Amino acid sequence: MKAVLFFLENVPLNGNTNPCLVHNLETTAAYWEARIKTYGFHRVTDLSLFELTLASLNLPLFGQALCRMGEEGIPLVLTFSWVTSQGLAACFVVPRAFEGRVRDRLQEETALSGEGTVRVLPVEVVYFYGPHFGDRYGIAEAALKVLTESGIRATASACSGSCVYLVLPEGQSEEAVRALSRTFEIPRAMSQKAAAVN
Amino acid sequence: MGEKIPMEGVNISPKMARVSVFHPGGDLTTGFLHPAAQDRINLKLLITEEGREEARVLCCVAAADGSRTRRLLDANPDLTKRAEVHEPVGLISIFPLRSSLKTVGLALIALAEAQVPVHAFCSSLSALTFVIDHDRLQEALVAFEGCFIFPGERPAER
Repeated sequence: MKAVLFFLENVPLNGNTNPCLVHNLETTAAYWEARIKTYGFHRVTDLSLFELTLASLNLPLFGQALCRMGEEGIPLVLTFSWVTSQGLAACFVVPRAFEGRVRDRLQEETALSGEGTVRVLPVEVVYFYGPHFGDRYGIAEAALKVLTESGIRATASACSGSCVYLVLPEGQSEEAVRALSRTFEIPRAMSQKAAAVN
Repeated sequence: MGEKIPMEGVNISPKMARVSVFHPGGDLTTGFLHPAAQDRINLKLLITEEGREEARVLCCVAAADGSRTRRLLDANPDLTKRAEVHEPVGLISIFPLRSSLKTVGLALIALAEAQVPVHAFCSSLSALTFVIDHDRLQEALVAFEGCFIFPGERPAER
C-alpha cells in the first residue's frame, strides 16, 4: 500500500476533480487552488548571466575558478547547467558589480573568457516559492505561460525544491512581477512582508 | 584540498527519468510544459532556456512518470524527434548553499575527480542539486564527503 498525503483547497464540486481517488488502496495526491498561492515575488536587478560550455576535462578548472571567486566574496545568485553534445552548458548569475572580476578569474583559471566561448548577458531575476511547490505539478508552467501571454520571454528558468527562478532580460522584471501577480495570489500578510523585504 | 566546509545535510532521490527537449522556434509552454501539467506530471527539477534559435527544457520526473512522459513526447511530432528520456538518474542535493560559488566549485571538482558524469545541476534558495546516474549516487556522496562535513548518518540508498 502506498500512502500519499492529500492537500485539498477550494476543490470544485463539478465532478471533474474528485477529492478522493482511491485505486487498489493507493491514494492519489491532489492540491488544487483556484489561484496558486505564493509567499511573494522577489526581484533582483543589475545582474550578469555567464554562459559557457565546458568539455569534461575543463570541469575541475571551472570548479577551481568558482572556488576562487567564492573565496573573494563574489556571491552567487543562481546557477544551472545541463549536458549537451559539446559538453556541459553551465550558467551562473552574479551581481553585475562583479562582472569584471568574474571575467578575469575565468581567464586566469580556465583560459575561458574570449569571444565565442563565454556569453555574458545583462539580466534580472524574479524568484518565488509557495506551499509544497516542490511536490506539485504545473507551477512553473503557470508562471511561464503568463509571461508568454504578457509578451515577456524568459531567458531561462530554473526550479528545484520549492523555488521558481525566472531569468529575464534587463528591464523586464517589474513587468514580469505585475503579470505574475495577476495569476498567482499573495496572501495579504505575505504581501506586506515581501514589500518590506524588497 | 583545503578545510572541509560544514553542511547541514545531503539528500538523495529515488530513481528518476531525465527528459531533454529541444524545440526549434517553438513555445516550450504549449509544446511540453502544458501537456505535462495537464497530465499531472510533477517536474522535480526543471531548467528551461530560450536560445536565439531554439528553446530547450531539461527536467526530471519520477521514474513512475517516465513512460507517461514518453507518451506525451511521442504524441507531439514537433517534439518527438528532438526529445530524449534517460533513466534511471538520481538527484543529490547538498544544503545550505549560502550563495556560495566556492561550494559549487568544490562540488564540481569532487565529482570530476571521482569521474562521476554530471548531467545537470541547479541551485535553489538553500540547496545545490546535481543530476547524475542513479547507480553513481553513493560514489557522489563519498566524493562530497571529501570536501564537505555532513552531520548524522549517511542517507540510505533509495
